[in-house]
Amino acid sequence: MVGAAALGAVFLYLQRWLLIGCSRRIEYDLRNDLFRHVQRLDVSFFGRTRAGDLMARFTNDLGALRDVVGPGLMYAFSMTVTLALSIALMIAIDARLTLIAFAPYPLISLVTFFFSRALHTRSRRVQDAFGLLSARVQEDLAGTRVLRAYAQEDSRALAFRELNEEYLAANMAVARLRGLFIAAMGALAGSGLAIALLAGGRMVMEGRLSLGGLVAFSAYLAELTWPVVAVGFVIGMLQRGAGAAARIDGLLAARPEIAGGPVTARPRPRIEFERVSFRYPGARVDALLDISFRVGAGRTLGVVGRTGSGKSTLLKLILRLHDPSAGRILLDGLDLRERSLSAARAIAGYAPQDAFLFSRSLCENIAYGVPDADPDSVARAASRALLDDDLAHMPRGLATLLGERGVTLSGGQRQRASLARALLLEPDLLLLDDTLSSVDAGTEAAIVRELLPFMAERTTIIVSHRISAVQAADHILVLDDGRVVEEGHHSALAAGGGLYARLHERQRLAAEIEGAG
Amino acid sequence: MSAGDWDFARGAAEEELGKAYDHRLMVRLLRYLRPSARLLALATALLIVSSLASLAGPLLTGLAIDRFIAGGDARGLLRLCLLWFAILALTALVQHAQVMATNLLGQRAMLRLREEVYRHLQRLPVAYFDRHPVGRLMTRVTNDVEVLNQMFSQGVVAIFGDLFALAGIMAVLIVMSPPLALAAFLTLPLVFLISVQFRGRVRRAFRDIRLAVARINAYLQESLGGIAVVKAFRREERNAAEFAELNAAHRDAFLASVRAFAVYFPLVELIQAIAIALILWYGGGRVLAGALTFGALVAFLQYAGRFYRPIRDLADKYNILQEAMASAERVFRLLDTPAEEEPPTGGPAAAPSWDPRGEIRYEDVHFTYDGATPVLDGVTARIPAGRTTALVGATGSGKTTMAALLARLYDPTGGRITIDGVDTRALPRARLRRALALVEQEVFLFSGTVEENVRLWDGRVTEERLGTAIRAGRADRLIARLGEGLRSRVAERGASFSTGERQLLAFARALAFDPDILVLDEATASVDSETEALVQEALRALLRGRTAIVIAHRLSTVRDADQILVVHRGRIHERGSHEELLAAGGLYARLHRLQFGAGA
Repeated sequence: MVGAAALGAVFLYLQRWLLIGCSRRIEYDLRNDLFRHVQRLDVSFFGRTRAGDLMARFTNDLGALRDVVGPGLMYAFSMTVTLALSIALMIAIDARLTLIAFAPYPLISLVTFFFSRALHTRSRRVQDAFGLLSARVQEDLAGTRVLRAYAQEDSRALAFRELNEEYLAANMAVARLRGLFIAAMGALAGSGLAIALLAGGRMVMEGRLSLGGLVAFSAYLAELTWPVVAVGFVIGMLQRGAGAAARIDGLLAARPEIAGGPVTARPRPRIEFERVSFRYPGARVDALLDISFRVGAGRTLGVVGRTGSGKSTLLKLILRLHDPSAGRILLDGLDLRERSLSAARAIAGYAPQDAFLFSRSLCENIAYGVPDADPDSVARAASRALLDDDLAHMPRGLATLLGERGVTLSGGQRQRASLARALLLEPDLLLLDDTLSSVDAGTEAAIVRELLPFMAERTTIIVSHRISAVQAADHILVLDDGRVVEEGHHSALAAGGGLYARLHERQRLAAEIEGAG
Repeated sequence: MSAGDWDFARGAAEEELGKAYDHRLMVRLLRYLRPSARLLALATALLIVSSLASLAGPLLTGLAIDRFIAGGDARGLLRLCLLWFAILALTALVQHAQVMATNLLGQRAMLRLREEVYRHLQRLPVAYFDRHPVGRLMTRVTNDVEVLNQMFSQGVVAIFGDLFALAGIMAVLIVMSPPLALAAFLTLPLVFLISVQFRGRVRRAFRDIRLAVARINAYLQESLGGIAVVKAFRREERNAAEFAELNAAHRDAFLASVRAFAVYFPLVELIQAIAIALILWYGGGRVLAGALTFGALVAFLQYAGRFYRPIRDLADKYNILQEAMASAERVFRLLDTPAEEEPPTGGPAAAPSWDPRGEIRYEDVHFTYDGATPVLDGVTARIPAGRTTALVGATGSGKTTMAALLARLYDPTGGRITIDGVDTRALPRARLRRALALVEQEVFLFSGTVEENVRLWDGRVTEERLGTAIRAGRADRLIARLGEGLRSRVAERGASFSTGERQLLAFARALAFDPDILVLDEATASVDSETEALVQEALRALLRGRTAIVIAHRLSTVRDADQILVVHRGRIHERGSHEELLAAGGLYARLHRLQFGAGA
């Protein structure tokens, strides 16, 4: 008996390790594939899809799928074997007794199945209530100034209590179900044993069954409880797995960006817009309308305009984060769409408006596009972006960690770090998207001075709402509501009576007042 | 710089797992059970009954074999089995009641704790929110409390249940046959040792899994949030490799736990089999020798089979307790952060009858957000009651801070602010804030309905006042256009409203509260000309007959103001009426040209 148990233990080990282990490896591969796929989806996909929803595919749905392959398969297999063997052995002892005593057991499977299904929907309700609760807390903390200014903390706390109670009710609905399940399982499994004792006992008295036979029979019956429960669970698991698989399929079915032809870039590229229009998916108005311009090799284009005039969109189109709805963009005379997807990305250094930095060290952020850059060139790019003074005040210099767990940079510091990240690429095409808007005027002027020789060797597009950032450009476009309303050289534009001249006058006065006192 | 050494997300999940039991924390946690003391007693009683009742099966089986089957007493057997059915039914009822009671106990305790944390957060100084991101504070109310809930509904009470079941089985075994009980207990130390070993391994594995999941989530959130940068810098390949690394850490941590379980469960089953063999061998001999009945042996074997579950469960509970202690520590640390202090009750102006005329004085007020850079550097000003005072100045000159200090969102670091001669710090905040309405430049709208956003859930704002405020604030046409009127939905952060529309709603909100003092930070963003005209009209209704401080961006507001204060670098630089200041040709004259266009 001990020998048989030892053998059983070895097999049990192998079964768990192989099946569940295998499911974890499958999960690993699937998650990697999913990530690669999602990274290739175009930027507008991320605008349409809620981040939380996307993350749930990576965690919950993959987990549900893994459970089918791992524990699901394992239980399905082991319970079939156990059930078949036990029932065979019980029938060998007495077929009639088996029939009578086994009567409550199919009920157990059924109860488990309905339990696991109901549990799933009720758990959803718990999760939804939890989601509402979290969202409310977040909103109330974000709007705490208003709540305080109007002394509404108490009335809002009462509203919070309602959600809190709904959450309690949802949790209790699950508890009630669990309680019922536990109670029903105990009663059903126990009745099987009691029936066996009653019917078997009589058979023993009538001499149709040995006492040992009855004991063995009861032991087998007791063994059956778990496999019968597992039948219900596995069916539930399969159902959830099917739902998860459908959601993951849906994600995989989203078409990735279309890659184009080969990369053939030369230094100092030419950029041309030919009657380009663009409208964001779902938007009612065009972000850009009928834009045409040309930036020659090694020249600098300045783009100014108010917030929302379409300046940033222009750069995103060059990087093919979006494609134009009409018209075409030429890089060295060839339509971007006929080139490789990353043709422009490969030669461009881009400093986006929001200066998105990652939660890693400042050094790694600056070297984001050149991960194996040597520390000297990283330091050089940082000092070109005038980060030296800031670095001196940071605890660990370039090794300083940013983000949630690290240091929070000021808006101006973030923008300069983002600029350094673009400069380190030594790009042929430099795209600056209002890169210095949070930097004070003095620092801006110093950075522009620093950049002038750098820009002289490159094709550059500077987008800004500040005149000072673009006035040295070879050509300036003034955008308003997605259209070019003025263009030309700084001196001509400033002398004219248009939007550019008005912006220029206001900014000149602002600079004067900043210096006053 | 290797790809693997970023240590972001660390800390979110990596707080070292500490003790599984901390007396100080536990005592404090148990206090939340006190209001449900009766429920606690009931749950405990039910637990004892259900543990005892679940012991009945083997005992009855043994009895049936020895008394009735061996004696051929069919009626007796039937009676016994009927008794068993009755016990089963009773057990089911008790178990269900016990699960409900236990869960209700935990849920109620957590309801109280959650509300306490929420209310405490709303009483923390506003400055606290400048330093602590909302996302992290939110998890205190939600996730941490949830972990504690697990402890209450699955941990603490269940541990009692397990211990009780264990003790019950041991007692029955000893009563039935002390030597045989000893044989059954022989394997217990071994199981315990293995469980301790296993517990350690699983604990580490689970901690690693949690850490890996937190990192995967953080990485996903960031690289998908910054997808434009990822693409522009062509990091896709490298990021996929980084992600694979995190993913591999997750897989390996999971495999470690799988291996631990795969070793543990079979091992325990093996030991169990050995124990049963031991009982069978020794007990069988005793039966043959006539020292033990056959039924007792059967009962014994069945009990021995139930021995191990409670021990296994105890190891699980350990994890729950450990996490709970870490969460409790964080929650209590937050609760121990001092809230805003209120003045002692019964102060000079604390009386409910306090009815300010509304003369405000800033007396040499200093303020700094970070303790180093002065934002207000000695502001002294008198704001006359019932009149409009405009604050004008460049961005960052300190205008908005002056408004925030008056509403006591912050307190001055030096000097004082008085209303009708009473220091604002001597007033209960709620009283002060009921007397004034603050409209901030960035209007915050809550998700919910338009009505909720105007009256802010305040019962004192009657239907009538609500309607008057909306009409006077010129928000009636906007609201009528929304389809469902006051019931129309407002999306999170008011995403569907333009800046001008938000301003109108904010004006209506301020009017609905009919404040004695109005503090208004006008929005600068350009609004369409139609809304602009409405905002102008609404403003006039808003300012009429009140003490008002307006951070003015509109020419008309500045011009119509009774007094203009020019704020520059944290001080009042000039003061006077529009004409006086223009004539003086100082900073105001230049600002005026800047803000309202040359030649205006």
